[in-house]
Amino acid sequence: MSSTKTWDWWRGDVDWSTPAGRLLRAFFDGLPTDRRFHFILFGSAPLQLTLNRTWTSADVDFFSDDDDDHHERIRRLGLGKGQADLYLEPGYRLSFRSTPLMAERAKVVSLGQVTVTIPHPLDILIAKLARLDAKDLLAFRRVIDLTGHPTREELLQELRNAVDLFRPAFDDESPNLYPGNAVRLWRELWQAPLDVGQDIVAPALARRRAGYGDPPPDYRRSLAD
Amino acid sequence: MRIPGDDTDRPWRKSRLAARILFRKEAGRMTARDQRIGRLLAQDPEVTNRLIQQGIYSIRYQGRRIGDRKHEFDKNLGLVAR
Repeated sequence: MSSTKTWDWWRGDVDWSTPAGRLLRAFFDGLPTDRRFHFILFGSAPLQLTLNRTWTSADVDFFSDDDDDHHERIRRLGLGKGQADLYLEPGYRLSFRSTPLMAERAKVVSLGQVTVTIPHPLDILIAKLARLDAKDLLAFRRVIDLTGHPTREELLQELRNAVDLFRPAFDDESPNLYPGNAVRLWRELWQAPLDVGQDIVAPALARRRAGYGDPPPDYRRSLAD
Repeated sequence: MRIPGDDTDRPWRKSRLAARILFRKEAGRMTARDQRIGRLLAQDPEVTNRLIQQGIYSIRYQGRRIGDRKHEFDKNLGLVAR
């Protein structure tokens, strides 16, 4: 059955013979066999695993769904930072800021007692908007070169769905760079202007309000009269 | 079945009661007891306009759901202009 989802351009077939794939397999082989594990990948590794095996990255970012700390195990296996050319970088769920659709469109793969969630390139790219260094901008360009996606309209829709990424930062955080980076991305990729308030926030909030239904009148006042 | 000691649906039950009182008010059948309880519910922080509105949509008054009459209902209570 064909689907009309706008993210169907990615199948998520994993090439475990890639450098990231081999590193992950070595890690999985060193895990205890008496329990199950679930890891969620983020950063560039999912792009190397599923889009292009020559995609370079220094590390493989992941977190565990139960927030286990895997640093010690990784060090023991010799797969950590400073121990291997390509190393494992365990993080936490909060390290990966992406969209509400991440789980829905991710690829989930089982390897023995290990389950791996590999996010869709859209979610990987949108997470990169938090920083948008030159390397992150190149990642956008390369995914588009390889797949033809996301188009400008597709990305606009995705950013509306992820509107909460555009909220101001907490007081003790660095400023939220998403709004400025989105404007920069539009300029770099499509030589086009982007008005975050008008093009992303306003339509998203209108849809959110429509989902809540009409605001109720003041029934409490009527009760008190 | 209501579980004794479980008050999680208390705001919802009070808001449905508020909705019933408003139905009687709109129909001109509000009693002194309704007025007294209505004033108490209006001061109750657990009773919100949103929950009362959900109650208005969900309960039957005199065997009928409000359906398309909601705007007219609000207007009769003096809560919307037109």
